[in-house]
Amino acid sequence: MSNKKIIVENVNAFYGAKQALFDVNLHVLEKEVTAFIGPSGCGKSTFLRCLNRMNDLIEIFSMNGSITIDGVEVNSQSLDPVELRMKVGMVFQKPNPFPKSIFENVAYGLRIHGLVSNKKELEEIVKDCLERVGLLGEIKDRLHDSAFGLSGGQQQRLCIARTIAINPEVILMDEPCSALDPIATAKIENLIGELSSKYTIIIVTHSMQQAARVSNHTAFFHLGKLVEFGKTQDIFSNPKDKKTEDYITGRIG
Amino acid sequence: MGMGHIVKSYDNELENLKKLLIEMMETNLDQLNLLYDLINYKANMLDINSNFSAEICNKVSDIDVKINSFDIKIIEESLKIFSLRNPVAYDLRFVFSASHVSSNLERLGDNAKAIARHMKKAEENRGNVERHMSKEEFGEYLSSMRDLHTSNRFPRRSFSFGRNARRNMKNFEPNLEENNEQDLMQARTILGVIINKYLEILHILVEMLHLTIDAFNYMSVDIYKKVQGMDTKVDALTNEVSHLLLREIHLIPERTADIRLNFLVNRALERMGDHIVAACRYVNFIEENTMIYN
Ligand SMILES: Nc1ncnc2c1ncn2[C@@H]1O[C@H](COP(=O)(O)OP(=O)(O)O)[C@@H](O)[C@H]1O
Ligand SMILES: [Mg+2]
Repeated sequence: MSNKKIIVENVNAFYGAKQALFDVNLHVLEKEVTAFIGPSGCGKSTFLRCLNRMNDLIEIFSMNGSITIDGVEVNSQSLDPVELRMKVGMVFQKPNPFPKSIFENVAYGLRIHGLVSNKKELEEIVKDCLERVGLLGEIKDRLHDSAFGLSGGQQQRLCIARTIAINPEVILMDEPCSALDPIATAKIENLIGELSSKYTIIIVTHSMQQAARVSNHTAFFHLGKLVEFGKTQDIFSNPKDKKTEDYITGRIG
Repeated sequence: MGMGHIVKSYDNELENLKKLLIEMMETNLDQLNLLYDLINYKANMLDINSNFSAEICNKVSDIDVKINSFDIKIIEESLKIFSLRNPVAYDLRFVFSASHVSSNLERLGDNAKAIARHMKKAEENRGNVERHMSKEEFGEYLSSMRDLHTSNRFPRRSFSFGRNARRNMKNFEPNLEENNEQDLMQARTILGVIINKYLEILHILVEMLHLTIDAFNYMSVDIYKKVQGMDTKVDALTNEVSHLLLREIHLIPERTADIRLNFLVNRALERMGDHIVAACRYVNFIEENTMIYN
């Protein structure tokens, strides 16, 4: 039985007066993949961003309730958001490499966080990360070329390499494959499976099949409420809630 | 599942699959009704010197060909839905179940065909089974039957009487005295009783299949439970027939070949009940996501 890495209790979230999340309660198990599914606008991204305080950047945003990671309250004043985001990395919908070389994209975080002491160590870690996302073989003689020369799927894997370089514990992914073709998608899904032995992963996805393929647990959100949360196999074979069933079977909800 | 899918054509495909299943069951029903006619004629001794059994046997075989093609069609349609629609939850259980249901219906058809064949054979045999076995021959036959049915090595599936009958067979001591008139009379009565039991069993099977069609039409777990309950009656009746047949062997050794065929008929009837329940059980699986045996 895995540990409860993240525990969420009674979370309400607001954009100004508009409530986006209603009394969300759930836990995320350590070194598992948890998928968030639900129709557009149901609050998946809002909730995901609560987990590493990305919403802090939005002025009108506010929330209450409790989110703890390893028992530490995410929203506590004493917790440095930068430190939190090192521990909780994020991969976005559209691959967003920096306008730098492939090598620099991965090296950047290591440098600014002071995680390496010399050039040799830096090179080793960068190569190791690129290897782990299956990129090194594909680009080893282009390490110092611009990251923008990579395909969309390669760029997304580069972003994952950049995220794992600073050795996070949790990786948040917001629809990481929605801009990718099926082969690039399969590579990312395969990578998610491999990474889950080391990291706790939360993925937001619009593809039911992707949630079914990659995750151990699935949470279904609807109109800002967490409707159902459980083992992925149970959700897709025998959902308890009619709304979940209608959504995953593609019925009119 | 009352509500339709957002993709309308998906609804049509699922609806079509259900329609195929129900049409297949209706075809099975035609076959059972023919068998009922056949046995009814026998019960009323109307078949003497006519080729009625042969005719029915052919019709039953023709229907079996139709049933097999339904099975193939249903497998093809389910595979198509699996590959193109990625069904989940209720839809997944339904599409998954379709080919299981149809394979049970296919075997239901096979058993019906076998019964018609055995009945026809029994009739053809009638001429040459009148030959009188010697006392020794009969004794040998009986002990070989006993060995066959009490041996644990004998594959249970191909020919068995169930546990009780096995136990009876173990204690079965053949009476090798000359058959007297009274024994023969009794034997004829037993045969009459058996034929009437077949009718009773078929009557229940037809009713069970009717209800199975309703169960799928309304996706009703309650109807499934009723069908399941009715099979207990079929089991009890086929068990009774086994005992009667054992007695009959004892009484009229001349007709052992005939009786062997009757054992096969009886067994096929029991099997038919099992296949109907097994098919109907999927209503429970689709609706409740549980597989309950008994
Ligand atoms: N920056 C924002 N300002 C105001 N409202 C927002 C903002 N971001 C999201 N929302 C609103 O919050 C709700 C949930 O959005 P979001 O979390 O993006 O949903 P999802 O990721 O499930 O599609 C929506 O009604 C959306 O319009
Ligand atoms: Mg979103």
